[in-house]
Amino acid sequence: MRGKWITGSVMALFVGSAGILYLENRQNNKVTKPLVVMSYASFIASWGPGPELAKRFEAKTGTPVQFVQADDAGILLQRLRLVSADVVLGLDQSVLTGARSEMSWLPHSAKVDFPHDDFFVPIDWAPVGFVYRDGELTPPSSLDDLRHERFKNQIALEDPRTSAPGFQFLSWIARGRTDVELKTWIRQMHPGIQSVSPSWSQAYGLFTRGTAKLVLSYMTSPLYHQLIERDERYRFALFSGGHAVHVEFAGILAKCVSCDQAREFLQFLLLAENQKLIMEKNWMLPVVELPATEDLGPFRKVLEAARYLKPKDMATLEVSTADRERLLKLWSEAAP
Amino acid sequence: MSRLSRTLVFLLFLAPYVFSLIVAQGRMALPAGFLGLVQSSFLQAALSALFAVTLGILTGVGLLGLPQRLRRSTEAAVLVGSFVPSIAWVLMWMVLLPNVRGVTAIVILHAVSSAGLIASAVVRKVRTRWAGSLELAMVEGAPRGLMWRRGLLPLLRSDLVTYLLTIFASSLSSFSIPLLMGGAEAWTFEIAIHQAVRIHSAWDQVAALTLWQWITLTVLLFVSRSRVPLRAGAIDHRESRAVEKYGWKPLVLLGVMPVASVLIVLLSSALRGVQQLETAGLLIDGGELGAVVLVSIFVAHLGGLLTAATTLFFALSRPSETERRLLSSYVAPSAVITGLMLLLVGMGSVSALADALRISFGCALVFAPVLWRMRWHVELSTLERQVEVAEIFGASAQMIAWRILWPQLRPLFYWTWGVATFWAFGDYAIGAVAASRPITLALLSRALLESYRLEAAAILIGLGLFLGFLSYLFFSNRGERNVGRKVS
Repeated sequence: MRGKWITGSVMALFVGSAGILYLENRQNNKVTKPLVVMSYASFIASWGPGPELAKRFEAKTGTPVQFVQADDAGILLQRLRLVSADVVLGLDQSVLTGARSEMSWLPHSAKVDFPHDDFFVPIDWAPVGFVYRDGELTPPSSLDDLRHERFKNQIALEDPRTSAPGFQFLSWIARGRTDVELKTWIRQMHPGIQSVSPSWSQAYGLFTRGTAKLVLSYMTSPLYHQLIERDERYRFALFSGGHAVHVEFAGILAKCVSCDQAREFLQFLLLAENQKLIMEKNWMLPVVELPATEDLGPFRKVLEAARYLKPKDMATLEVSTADRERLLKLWSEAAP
Repeated sequence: MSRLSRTLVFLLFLAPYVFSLIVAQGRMALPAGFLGLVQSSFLQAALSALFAVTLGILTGVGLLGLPQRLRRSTEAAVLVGSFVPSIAWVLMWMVLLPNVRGVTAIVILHAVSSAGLIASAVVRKVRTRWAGSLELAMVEGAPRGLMWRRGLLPLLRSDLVTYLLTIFASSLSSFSIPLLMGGAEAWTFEIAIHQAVRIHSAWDQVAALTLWQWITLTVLLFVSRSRVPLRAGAIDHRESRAVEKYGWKPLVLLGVMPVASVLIVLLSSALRGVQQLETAGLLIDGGELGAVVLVSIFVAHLGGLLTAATTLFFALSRPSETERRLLSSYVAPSAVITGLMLLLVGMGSVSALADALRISFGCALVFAPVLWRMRWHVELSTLERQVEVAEIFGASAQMIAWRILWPQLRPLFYWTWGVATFWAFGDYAIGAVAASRPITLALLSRALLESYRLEAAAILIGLGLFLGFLSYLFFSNRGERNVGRKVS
């Protein structure tokens, strides 16, 4: 008797949970459909730009926005096969080709003076390079400088196979080099590499903990320390030969439910006040010109420095699937 | 009914594999460099298992030398190492031994992060099974070394094989440590599966790798299990001074020191972490953080309960030895696959409740087979004789389940609930894929990590560990309270 009771309780727990889910799902379907935007965790977190953008969009259009978290871009695309969303926000240029081939997208109507195509709108960007703490080392001034022995065991990199900035770095060093030269170049950099982390956050953690003295990150990274932590020591090493860039795009899924609102949302993201919000809360640069009269604090200086690093067109930004595979294979063969 | 229950459990565990096959549309292809992957991953897993078991036994001997009260809290402290996120272990490693990388670092980190669990299992086994024999040995004047060499280690042989296989299997599917310490080489199948899903979207490779890993491990674990008979003494829960005599206190440092180091590294900048939580707005009114803590408690405890309930459910359904071995041989596929499959639960609902349930279900799917392999299989086998006698005397299946098995398995049930809850507090692998928002401490800490706030993330990870530790102590004590209850 007691056995039946416990077995029954366990079964009831499973069935009850499924029932609650079903009812809740039905309930959700009855209320006004929100615009579902899939993005990464730090964008939709309470301290990120997501919640404020949602508030502003609802105030403007009356459409509520529901942000949904996705893991990295690779998982995001797999996740989209199983859950529905209207907008995907945060795809970087290196996964756009894959995104196009794996999913269907609707053309957008947003206008922006920044490289884009019919399906994907840029929402923010930043040059990629190396961040260091003032006084700890003489910063590198070029890519080749990274192979200097003064950086022995000091550089925290991200794995290009799992990290977007890691891949931007690989594309950057591959520019103008043959496969053999690239592999040689990577091998010559081995002594300097302190770690190759699977994600930017882990690499940056090793850097802030002092384990590494130089980290592959964004030009905007020092601004976080300056503005939030009041720590002025962090610097971005400006290279003479230019930098890689990281651009984040948004697109509308062809299976969208609130498609008109999705188009409106992409245009809304490009408004100067929203670009400023994204800049300040996501630590990336705007893809539109912000009014010269606007007080941007230390961001203004970074914007000026980054002006010359802006990508020119989609062709220079995007990487074909074949090239991506080739570069990753070369990395696997030559990395430490 | 029992057969149906067992079939249901097996179907539940097979679901992620079926899912990967469906997504791959039945196609399979092995990736380039497959043989190298097999070689390096098996080498790494074998060495990890060997070192982890050695360290676990030595720590266990140390724990046994401590007085009862101190032992319980030290055991829980040592166990913390098994729940600390991999990134914390890696950070500790890079602070202490920045120049040692590759398979050496992977093996040592796998060993120190799993030794606590083995030490805890050894302690429990010796205390609950061999206390009487130790008392006899003490009366006879057997020295400590001889007792371990000739007595306890041979008696623990089947358990040692179990621990070796458990760590071998978990090291084969480990992710963060081999990725960070191993460089470009894929040292585990999990990394290869991760690369296939995330980088190439090659589900044919995912299906092939997943299936290959599963079949290999199943065959390996199944065969090993049949070669080493399960054995244990009758349950004897007396608290004996002899146990303390045959332990050796100083060895406990082997288990405590790595855990202490990792916690020091994790929480060394706590003040800065508090400031970061403040700048993230999480301390303004405590609303969001409070809610996340509550949800974490719910998710972790539900995950723990589901894990314990699944193992108990299977145990009470009277599985045959082959079925027990089959479940012991089961290894959950990559967390990515399990997480994606769980999205089907709730038909893609993005509500917080759906997220919570998905994470809890996912934890049960991943943890239940591990804990079954680790302790339930052996424990259930030792009760077989009693069950046979009861059957001869005409006891009904109900009576056997609830009058013989349940009273003796109750402490294990609570231990499983505690361990699984502790693990579930730290899960972000499944949650990151299956959840729609950062609803747990682990997921929130991940979001903080992505926003330059490592120290704040460390505080939340520390908070999760503390809550998990309390839960483990609670359930462990609850199980202990039931120890010695008369079997009706």
